[in-house]
Amino acid sequence: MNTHLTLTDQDIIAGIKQKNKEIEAFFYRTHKDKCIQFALKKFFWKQPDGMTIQCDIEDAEEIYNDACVLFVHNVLKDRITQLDAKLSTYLITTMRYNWMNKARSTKRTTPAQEEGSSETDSTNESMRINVRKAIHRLDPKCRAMMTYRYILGWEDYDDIAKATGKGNGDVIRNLLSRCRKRFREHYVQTINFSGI
Amino acid sequence: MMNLSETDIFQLEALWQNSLDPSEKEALEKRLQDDAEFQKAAEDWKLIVTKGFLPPTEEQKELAEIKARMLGYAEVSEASPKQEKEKEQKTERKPIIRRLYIGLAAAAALLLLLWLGPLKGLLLPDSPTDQFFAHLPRDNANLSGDGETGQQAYDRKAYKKAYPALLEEVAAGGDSLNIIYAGVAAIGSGQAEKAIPLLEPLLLAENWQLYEAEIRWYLALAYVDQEQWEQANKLLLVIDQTEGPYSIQAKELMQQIQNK
Repeated sequence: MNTHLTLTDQDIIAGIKQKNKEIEAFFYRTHKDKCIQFALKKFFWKQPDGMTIQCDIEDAEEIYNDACVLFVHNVLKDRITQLDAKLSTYLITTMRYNWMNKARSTKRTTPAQEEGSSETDSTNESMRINVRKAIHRLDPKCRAMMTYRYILGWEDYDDIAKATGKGNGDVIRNLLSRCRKRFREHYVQTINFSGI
Repeated sequence: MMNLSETDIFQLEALWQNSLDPSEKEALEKRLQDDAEFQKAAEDWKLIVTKGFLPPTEEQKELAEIKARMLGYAEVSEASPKQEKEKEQKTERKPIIRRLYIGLAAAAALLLLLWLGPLKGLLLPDSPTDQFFAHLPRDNANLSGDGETGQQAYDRKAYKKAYPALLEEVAAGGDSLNIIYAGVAAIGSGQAEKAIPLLEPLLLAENWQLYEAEIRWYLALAYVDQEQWEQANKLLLVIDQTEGPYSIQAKELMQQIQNK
């Protein structure tokens, strides 16, 4: 591994897209310390009883890894093609949402932890496949919007505005509204076509 | 799902995120209750939002593969310095005696610098609190059991983890002695300001006399950390006068902070 590699964020996205492992490793290691230190200093969660939980090193590493995984996957799937914010800002924002989800609810289950009847499982699986097909049919701008809001779970429109460089929270709200409408149309068409 | 307007979706998502205005919340909940069709459409959308955007099986496999690669990068970056050190040790064993002398000489020089020179300020703990802080071993006889996470974390001196966990245990009806350990954990994890509201009430309460010395000492450390010199001095003076378990440390600490 060339430790003196210097790459722009766009070079990193291009390298990941080309499945260049050296660039992928560079991306992972370059941002790790900064993002983890930020999480340790800034991430906390205040419980209803007033107690505050702070993000510890294990949490920080876990949410950093998850943020990197999601970023790489979304780049490989063409859901994120460019960033207007710094890559570290993107990672920290994803980490923040991961942390909030982790801290505020242990009820929220990951797909691997879900339990249910096989019928429910297969219905959910069909729904997920149809959702992905509907997202894939969107234009790149809307695909990115839906990715930030629903796949990454970013709830604050201002965060999405910062990451995508598209105006402010109000602009994102309007844009997302249009994209969601298109998504719902595609989704219904996909369901009708697949008969599920 | 298509029956929902974008405004409906915006409001429903705000409701699920618990960020809806109370009056809007009430109105929306009433509508959900009264309008079965709207309720069904809302449930369909909620199902998609909560489950539909999770990755399908195929993507889960892809994510697992990427995760394995990321963990691989993490391991390599963490292992490298250690591996390099091991390699270095294997290749450079011959001049070990000479290195030992050099090491001893360097250690002696460092000690001199530490105690006499300008490095003293750099290498010693930043604040008197750090310098005087020591782990308070748990009083096992008074605790309910060793299985709890907070207590285990505290025993391992993993104070950052122990602090909230111990308080949770107290809130859940566990041994209230954990409040003291939570206070110690707060100081040990650099959050001395959080120890003050925990320990202050204990000192005023009448049923903590057995632990008064510990409470007073750790509260004094928290005050010192927060530069509340007057409160700290008051407590340290009492500790010094009672000649209890922390009187020597209290005397030394008072000398250190007397000019503050």
